[in-house]
Amino acid sequence: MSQDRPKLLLVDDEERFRTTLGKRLVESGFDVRDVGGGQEALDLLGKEPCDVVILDIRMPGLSGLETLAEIRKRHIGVEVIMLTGHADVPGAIEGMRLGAFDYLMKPHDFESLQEKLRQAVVAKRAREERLRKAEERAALDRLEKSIRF
Amino acid sequence: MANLMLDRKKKIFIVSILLYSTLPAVLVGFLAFAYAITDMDREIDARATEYFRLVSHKYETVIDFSLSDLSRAVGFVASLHTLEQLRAPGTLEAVFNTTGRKFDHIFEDMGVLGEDGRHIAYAGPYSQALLDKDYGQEPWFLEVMRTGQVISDVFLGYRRSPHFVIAVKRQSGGRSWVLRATVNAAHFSSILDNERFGRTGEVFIVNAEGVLQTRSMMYGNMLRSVDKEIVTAAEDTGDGLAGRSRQGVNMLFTVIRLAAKPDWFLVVQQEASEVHQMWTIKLKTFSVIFALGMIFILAAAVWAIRILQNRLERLDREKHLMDAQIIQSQKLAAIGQLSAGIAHEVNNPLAIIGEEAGWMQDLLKRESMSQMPEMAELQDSLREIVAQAGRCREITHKLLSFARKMESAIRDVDMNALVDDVVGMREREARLSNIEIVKDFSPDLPIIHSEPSLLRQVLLNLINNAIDAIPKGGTITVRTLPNEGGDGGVSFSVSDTGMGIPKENLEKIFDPFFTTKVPGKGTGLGLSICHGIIEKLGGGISVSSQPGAGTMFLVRLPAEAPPEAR
Repeated sequence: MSQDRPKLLLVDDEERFRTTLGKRLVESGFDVRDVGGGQEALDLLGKEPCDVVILDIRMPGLSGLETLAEIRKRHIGVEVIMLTGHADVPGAIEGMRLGAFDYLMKPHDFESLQEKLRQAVVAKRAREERLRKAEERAALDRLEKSIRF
Repeated sequence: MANLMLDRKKKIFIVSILLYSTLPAVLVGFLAFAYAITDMDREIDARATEYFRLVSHKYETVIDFSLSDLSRAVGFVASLHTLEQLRAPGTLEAVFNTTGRKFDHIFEDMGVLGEDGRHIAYAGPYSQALLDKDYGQEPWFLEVMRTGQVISDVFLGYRRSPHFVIAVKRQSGGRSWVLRATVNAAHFSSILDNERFGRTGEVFIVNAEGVLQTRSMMYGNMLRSVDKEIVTAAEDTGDGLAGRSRQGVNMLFTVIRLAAKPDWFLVVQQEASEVHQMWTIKLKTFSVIFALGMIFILAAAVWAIRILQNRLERLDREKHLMDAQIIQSQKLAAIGQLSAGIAHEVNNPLAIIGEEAGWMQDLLKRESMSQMPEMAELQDSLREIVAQAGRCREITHKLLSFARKMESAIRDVDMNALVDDVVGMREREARLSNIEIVKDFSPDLPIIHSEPSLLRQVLLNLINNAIDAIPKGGTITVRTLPNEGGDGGVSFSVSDTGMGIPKENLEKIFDPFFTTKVPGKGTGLGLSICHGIIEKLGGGISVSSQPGAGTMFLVRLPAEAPPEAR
């Protein structure tokens, strides 16, 4: 079942926040990695597959939105949930425009974070399923075509 | 100190305006006044000369005419009769009576005298005393014998009363005789007596020696001596004006030699002071008009300055209030930014606190922890930490949303939610004043596009006003409803059960700086700002009130705020 555990990547410059939240998410059944900045996140994503990225908007170095834009370019399947301070609502909206799955206001409610994560995982898996099925259908089509000819 | 400076500046301002506005008028007035005064003597002379000339010529004519008339009458009588006829008893009486009637009894008597100066005939009241009198050596008799006709000076004669004689000489039968008529000098004098003018103006006659031939107000009765000076003056002045001083009184006079009797002089005189008085009266009138004019100009200037000063003060006050308003709103904006910053910074530690407590709760749920002593206490404590962190989160979120609402932007507005929000802010305070806020919301209210922060401000202002209008408890009803006519807009009203607004104030209620609150309590800007906001958002605000029963403000908003509001 280990590989069924949704893989999360937690990106936040506040170390204590991400480790504790990480531990809780592990406790809730997620497979969690955490990094302190956007560049590390991109590096890690290049090495390991991931289902959902929890991304803080305000970070030193590569900001949340820049990281998001990069993720969207390189890793189409990964879902992103933005974590934002309340005053960053325009940032969050911009994030949604860039293709984030959802956003949450810090300090967040843990239950709603779990809920949103699950939705994101379901959405991602469903898309992957569709994609897989579409590929299967395409393969079948190709097979059919080759048989007919 | 600042006030003192202001007062000084104000005083300088007022005085300079007063000077500028009145000085030209005062100068012109004084110049006119000075001109009038310097020109006075010439003016008086010219006028008095003219006047005296008129008066003297008038009486010269009158006297000349009456004297020559009388002479002609006597000459005529003498020519008409022979000596014999006049000698005949009764003839002279008849002639005397006729001429007496004709000439207003100015003749005292008539007599016919022989060459020797003795009466031949006589008619009149003095027959006993005069009949045998010898006039042979009387100056007038000698003169008439020489010249044929005479008008004598006034003298007392035998009858001891002032009179003068008009006599003519005639020849008949180789003998000369004289018809003499006596003129009552008092009677003659009365012609001029009646012609006094002013207080001291008079006309009289003197002979060549300066002896009065008629009565004078100033010099006394007939035959009194005036002085020869007055006669010699006649030669000097012609009919011009002369002046002389008598017993300290300055007199102005003219003297004219009479044509009918060349050694009589007609004198017209008046005290100089009285002549001047006419002018001084004019001068006084002018002074009074001048003074009144000055007072009027000053009063007008003062009045204008008052108005100006009030206007300036009002402008000043308005500017101060405006400044205060701007500072206030800048302060609010700064506070908003500051609180947003603080809230944002606090959020991160809060998030950590929440996560840590949550993690501990997670740990306590593990089986290995099931034997933990005081488990319930620990769990309770952690729940409390989570709850309080949640409460803090609420606070920071509210602060942040307040700050965000300060930025103006057109958004979707659910009027019911907005009203609910604002009412929630004031409900507690209203309850303290024993006021209940009733919400009467329409359930199917369209969402409109408008600026929520401004609408909040308006609503807050209206509710605050309503609270202020209810001194001893009551109800405030806030209603929302779709616009009549279904234009997709929304209306809301705030009505109170307060003291109401008098009709005369109702019209001014949206005017800037109109307030009925005590000074310092209200700027009088609230409603005018509300009015401005609602107009900016393309809506309208109206008020209806019944004194004693309450007031209702109705705001009508369009579905879309006009683009220029964005």
